[in-house]
Amino acid sequence: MAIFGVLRSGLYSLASVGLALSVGVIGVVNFAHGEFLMLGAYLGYWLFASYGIDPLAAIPIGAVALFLLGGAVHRLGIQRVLRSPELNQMLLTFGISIFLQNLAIILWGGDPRTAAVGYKAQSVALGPFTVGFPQLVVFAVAMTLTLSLYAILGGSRIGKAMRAVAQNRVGASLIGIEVDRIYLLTFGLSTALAGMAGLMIALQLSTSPFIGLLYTLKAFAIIVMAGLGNITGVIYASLVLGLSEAFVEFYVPQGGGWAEGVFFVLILVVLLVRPRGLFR
Amino acid sequence: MAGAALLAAAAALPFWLNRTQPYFLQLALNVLIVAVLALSWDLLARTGQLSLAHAAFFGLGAYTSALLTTRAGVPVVAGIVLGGLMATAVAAALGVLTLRLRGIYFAIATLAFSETLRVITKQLRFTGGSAGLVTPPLLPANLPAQYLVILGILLLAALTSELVNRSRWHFAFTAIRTNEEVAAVMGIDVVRFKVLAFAISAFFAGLTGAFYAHVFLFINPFEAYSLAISVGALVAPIFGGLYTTIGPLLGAVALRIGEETLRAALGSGFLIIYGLILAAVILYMPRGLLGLWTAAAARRHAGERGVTAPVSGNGQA
Amino acid sequence: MNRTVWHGLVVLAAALLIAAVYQPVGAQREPIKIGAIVPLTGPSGVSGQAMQKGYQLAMDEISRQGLLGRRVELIVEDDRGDPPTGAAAFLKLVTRDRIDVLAGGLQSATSIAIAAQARQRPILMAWTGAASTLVERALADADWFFHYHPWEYHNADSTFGFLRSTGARTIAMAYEDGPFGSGSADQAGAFARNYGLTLTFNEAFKTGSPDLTPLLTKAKGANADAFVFVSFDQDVVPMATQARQVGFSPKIILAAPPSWPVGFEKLGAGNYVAGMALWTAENGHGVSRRFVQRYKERFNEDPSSYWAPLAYTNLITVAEAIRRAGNTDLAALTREMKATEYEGPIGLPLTFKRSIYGKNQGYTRLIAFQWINGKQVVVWPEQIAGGKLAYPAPYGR
Repeated sequence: MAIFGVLRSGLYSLASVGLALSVGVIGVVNFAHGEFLMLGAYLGYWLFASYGIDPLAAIPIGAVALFLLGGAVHRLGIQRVLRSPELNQMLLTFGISIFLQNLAIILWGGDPRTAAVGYKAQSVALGPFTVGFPQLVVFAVAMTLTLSLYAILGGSRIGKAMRAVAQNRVGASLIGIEVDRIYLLTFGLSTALAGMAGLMIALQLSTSPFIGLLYTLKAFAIIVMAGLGNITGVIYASLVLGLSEAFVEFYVPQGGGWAEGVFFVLILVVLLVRPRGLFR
Repeated sequence: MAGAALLAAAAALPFWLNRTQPYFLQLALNVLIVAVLALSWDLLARTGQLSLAHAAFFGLGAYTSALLTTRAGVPVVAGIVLGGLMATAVAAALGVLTLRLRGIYFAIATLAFSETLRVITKQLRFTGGSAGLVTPPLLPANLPAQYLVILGILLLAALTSELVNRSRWHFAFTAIRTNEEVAAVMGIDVVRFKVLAFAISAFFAGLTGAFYAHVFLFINPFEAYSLAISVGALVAPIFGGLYTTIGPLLGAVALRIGEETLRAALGSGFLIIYGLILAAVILYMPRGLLGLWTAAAARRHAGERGVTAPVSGNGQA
Repeated sequence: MNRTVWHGLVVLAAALLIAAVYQPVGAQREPIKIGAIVPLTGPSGVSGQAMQKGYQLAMDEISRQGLLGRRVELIVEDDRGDPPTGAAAFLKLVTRDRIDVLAGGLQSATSIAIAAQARQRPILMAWTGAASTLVERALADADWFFHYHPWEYHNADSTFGFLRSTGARTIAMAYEDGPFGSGSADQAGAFARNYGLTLTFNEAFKTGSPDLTPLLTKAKGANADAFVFVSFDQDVVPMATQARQVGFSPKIILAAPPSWPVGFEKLGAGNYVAGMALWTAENGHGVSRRFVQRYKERFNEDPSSYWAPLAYTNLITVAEAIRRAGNTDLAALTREMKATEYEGPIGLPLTFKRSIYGKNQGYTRLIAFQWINGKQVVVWPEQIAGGKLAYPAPYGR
């Protein structure tokens, strides 16, 4: 069971790390995060169904597409509310999420679509365990991306600029960092990450206009547990979520129904007891 | 004398309407439900707290009443009142625990609470589980009387809202909303006011939930605790004008009209209007419809008087 | 009061009286109005839209044949999956549009709200929706309520009847934890026993979960002949693929989503998964084939669920009842609806008989099919089977 929980956490962390970035650097809680993920999934489905492109191979395409979309959304809307009260930011992204979800319904209808990728059902032996091949792939991709992000943030100039802005916006602009440009890049990066998570979902599962909310909620739980803004904490928090869900589903009788409550309870507990997060 | 006659006429109106155009009466009843939720949500928003728990209290009221009336033989009217009171009690308790959280943390905590309630209700046999509960009717077959009940609830909520806005509470709420620390320093008991606002807001949500259960005769965890309820409750005041009494009501009506128009035009996906409205309001008209109106009125007024008068503020968005 | 006022009042009263009683000469030529309330938008919007298409096909025929020499008008109202909207839609249809009969119906909650209204304004309800027995009990005494869709216990009955016929003896079951899945789960134990089957595993999961491996591993451990999976369309994908991954290969996997995701037919892991439905487009019945053909011609797509032929059947049988009755009087209509004997695209004969709590129940069984190389081949009941069931199914081989 532990292995399943770990693998599941790969998808969760990939779905959440973009949100953690957006919250940490820009300070915007993007309620529409799941919808960018959903759009990435549709892109993955379309590329596979029309051109036979494996979602793995489509990662660069998805990343660029969602980066551009995120940038546009930021420019058109989010940028204007960055200095407004939090309420406004929240509501704007909430509105964007409703907009995108219904746009998907209008454009593509409510039916779920699944990409019949060849190795979707294959399993692979991992020592004494047999695990699903797509899950393993998603986990690997998630780890790679998260660790690369961590490296970028730590090493590169842009990354350092992002961290500077995250710590102190005014201070950062005083030393010459173009804060607005960093915000734009960061938001684009966060939506690109969401889009890539969506591609992985197209790989492993199916897509419909309604999948966004579930992942937004899980991402919330994870970043709250990690502590808003803590990027590496996302990996640990995803593990906690993935493992606890898997254990409840397996060991608790009728666990499947209760497991859904796990992450809500986790959010509540963390917020009430240690609002700064578990992994600071 | 004339006032009493007018009141009597107003009370008789739904009965007359029921004979001639009961469809409109039902539509009005449906809108009033949303209006009460909107107004009660706004009450809490005046303290600067953004709640996504409105659905939780709606559902709590509905289930409390449903369970009391079906399993304990409590009469329906008492059930509804008790539903409201249960929601109030839970809100007070929850408020004490969570109201120290701010902004987004509070919103997420309330969302988590709402969803947790849904999961628990769904899992327990006692509440009817996923399949839901059939509930006894309120004033069966009497649409105009039901309408008068929800109208009464709305008037009560409006009265409460106006009392809050015209009393010292208004200053306390606005101060807390603008800057909590400063308010505390000024001697305002921040926690007390926030919990009060939360409790009153929840009371009306619970009352409405119970009303819904006994008018539409069926509830299940998905509908009663649906996120859509919280969303509807918050979009209406934002659209209409926050922190006022008229704003949420205006928003509820305007939203319903907008929905119907768009649904006729677009079919599925008409809910996109919610997204568009939210984005448009936040970006371009933070004071909502009411704000547009007062701004236009002020401009006209200024034009008449020949001086520029400041726009009357309703507090910050 | 002076005489002028008195005279005026008398004239007014007379005018009102005449207006209330007067029937315009052309009243006989008024069109026959059939109302329908379906969710065109909202979570069940896809099914509701399929129903609307079924209605359109039925209207094509009815208009062509004519009905009692009068025009027929179908007024479809969207209930948005929302009980208050459904109640308002009913009032609009009955009090403003003055429909003669009410068709439609999909969700249980909306059905209850509408039925409550219908008790006050009696009208014939030819209802295609609601599977929850709560609705059946709420309308137990209603003579004017005709229910087309099988109730939950009919679904369970068919499912276990089919399983019995395969030779399976032990069953593992997983269900989504909403009203749809839970309803089936409640019935499962009793029906399994009725058919001499043993339910060794019965657990819930959350629809939309990306990872069902713990559940499937538990189910695998139950070592049953058959695995029954009650879910929505999105869940069958992880179920089928992850069952392969954990090496879960019962002799038969039976899934019962109300519809299947686009692209499932291409999924290797989906091959030989069985399903239960009221109808599939692969049904070999002549009438069914012609229906699918006409649907394709009219709408340029394949019917993806049973809602279209069900709605078609709904409207055609109502029209037939009106034709036999010779008028739209409630008592005559009720009598003729009870006398319905119809074999349409669904391929199963439709009559209205008593059910456990209800008076007029239409369809009472489902059919079983198996995905074979991308096609839904009907395998049970034998009379309408289009192919042979692969049992034990060669999953993963």
